[in-house]
Amino acid sequence: MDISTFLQHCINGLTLGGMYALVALGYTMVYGIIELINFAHGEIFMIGGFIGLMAIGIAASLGFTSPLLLLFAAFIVALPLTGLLGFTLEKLAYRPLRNTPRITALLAALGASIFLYSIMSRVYTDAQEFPTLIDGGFEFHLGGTENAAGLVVLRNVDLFVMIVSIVLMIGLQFLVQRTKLGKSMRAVAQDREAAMLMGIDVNRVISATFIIGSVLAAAGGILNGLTYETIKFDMGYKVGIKAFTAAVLGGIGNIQGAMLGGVILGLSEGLAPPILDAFGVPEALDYKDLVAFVILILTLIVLPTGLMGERVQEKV
Amino acid sequence: MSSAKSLLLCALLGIGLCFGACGGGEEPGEFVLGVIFPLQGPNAQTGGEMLNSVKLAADEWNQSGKLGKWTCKVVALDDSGDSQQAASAAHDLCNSYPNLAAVVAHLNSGCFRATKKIYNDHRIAAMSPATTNPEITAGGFDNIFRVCATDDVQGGAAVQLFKELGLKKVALIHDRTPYGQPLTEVIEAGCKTAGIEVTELVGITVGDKDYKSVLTKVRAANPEAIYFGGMYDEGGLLVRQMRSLGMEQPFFGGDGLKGPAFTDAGGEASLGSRVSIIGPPIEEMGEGEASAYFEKYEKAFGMKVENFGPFAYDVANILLEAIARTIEQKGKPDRETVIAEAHKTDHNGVIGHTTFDEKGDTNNRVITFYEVYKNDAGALDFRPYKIIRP
Repeated sequence: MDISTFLQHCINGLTLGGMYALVALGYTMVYGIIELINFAHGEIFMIGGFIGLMAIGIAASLGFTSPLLLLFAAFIVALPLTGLLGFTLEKLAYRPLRNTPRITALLAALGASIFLYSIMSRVYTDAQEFPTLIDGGFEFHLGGTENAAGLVVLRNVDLFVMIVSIVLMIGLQFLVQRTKLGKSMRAVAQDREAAMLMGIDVNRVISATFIIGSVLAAAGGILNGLTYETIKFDMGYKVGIKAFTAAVLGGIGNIQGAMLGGVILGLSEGLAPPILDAFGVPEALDYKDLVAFVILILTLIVLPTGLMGERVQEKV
Repeated sequence: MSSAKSLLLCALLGIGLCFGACGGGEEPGEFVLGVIFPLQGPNAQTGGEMLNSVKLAADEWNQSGKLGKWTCKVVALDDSGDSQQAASAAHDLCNSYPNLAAVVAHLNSGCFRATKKIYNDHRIAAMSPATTNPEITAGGFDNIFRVCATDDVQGGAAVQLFKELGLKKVALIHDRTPYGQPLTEVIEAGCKTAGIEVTELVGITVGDKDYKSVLTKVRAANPEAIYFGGMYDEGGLLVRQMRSLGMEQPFFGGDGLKGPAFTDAGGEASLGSRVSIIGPPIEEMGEGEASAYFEKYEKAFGMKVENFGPFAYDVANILLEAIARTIEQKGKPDRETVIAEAHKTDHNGVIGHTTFDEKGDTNNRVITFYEVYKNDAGALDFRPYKIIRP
């Protein structure tokens, strides 16, 4: 593998990782607070992308043409609306089941996922084109060859994905560590009943968690649309599973862990298959899912709490 | 109150169950033409067009009076393009409809491969409009037919086109399905004989959205063209990601890419892509009476025919012809006779002249390559690029 191919694989992996990290945050936050694996989170990511696309369509039909304005419209509309969806989902599907055995809530999450997926597959039966709002990029010719073989392409949109992911993650970190809401979230995560006794409105905190997670997922959905320039109702499934893997890898319930897990997962998916391939493993390029899940299993065996998870003391 | 409610619910459920279970209650004088297509999931659009075309044909036959005292009822089930669902749908169809006369079967090769034995066990003539895997008719079952040429023919046509374009180095990508993989393997073998170097024969996973790692590797060998054996969505994503990685090579594909779902997914990046489809170009399809199909379809369903509709329409007509001849002889749609009559098919339809060889494959082996271009309205569309005859 020459250096240009290697660098290209790195870039591919990093963009993927940024997206995984954004979605993984939603899983990890919800798990941290109510110990529920929100299987519908992948679908929320997908719906966020579609709302963004609709917002772009509406803004364009109102006569806005500047890509930056359209991009702004996508984020400004999709983020709150998807947050509202997360809020509604929690209120209707999860809250009534909060004090039932955990498996019931888990099944409700699966059901919600299938429900949202089916609705969207009726509304948009087909892959939808996502407009190219961020064009251009950098091309480096390495090795002196002027054909595509020695090329490293870093698209502006890849940079944008990385930057937006980082900004949102820093924002989240600030929110959780420095604000009152963040403090109550941490308190509820630590001990819900004690938090309640201390006067924290637990329902409100849980709602807020779902809203924030969904907002991040919506941002991920729009970034996904920008990267692949097409979105489809089935796009939440794979990303959902991978982001869940990233969350577990980083230590589920741990916010920095989810970010780290996402980036590691993206990079290893981008790099490991080509490296295996270079060593002559047959069909290695198709092993990227395999790589992701082998990493997950190894982490769970060696570090059962994930890379940054803390060992939770058994409650007596 | 609440118990009365639940009682009502139970009663409703019970009725529903009975309807579901007694689904086979056809009236006397009614036979069933079964249809199993993907009606949900990624290929639902294509499946819907094919189902509509079958319904159109069945309505015409019912109104024509050529079925004697019998009427044809179309029963459609969904396989979602998944072979397991296809098998369970086929079991459902065969077991719950005693008056099942024939089946219009499947868009995807994997589905038909999983169900052909079920149809054979029930001795039902099954004819596919679109499954192209060569193995399907190789099992020695006499009740399996298809009106489309196989991938041996389609792959050969691709190699012939490569030769005509003077290509020396190509990369082949497939989607690991029983459709895409054998198709590209046929092309690989053909390239070897033709002296064209295959830099890569590599599979991707359906449902993935990121194929950049495969493409980055393909790019390193700098092939002159890329051929993809697979379906619309993956094709669109591949061609987009190719362009975003700075790969300017021409992009080729099989009949799994010929449809608006490919240009929707691929957008501007799909411009200039060349994809083959079985049969002559739609524009040249149907002499005389048969060409009325396109107008009738548009009138009945308010949209244009874009995919495998003509193939499904012909399949339905061929099967109904065989059933009509059977009714003439036996007074009822006897299954064995329908199979025997289907073998005698000599049909002039929308996709051309169909007769079957002893395996049940069509003798109509024309392949057309289409090119993606921008039409006058500025939308992406297909136009015939080259017709390749065996």
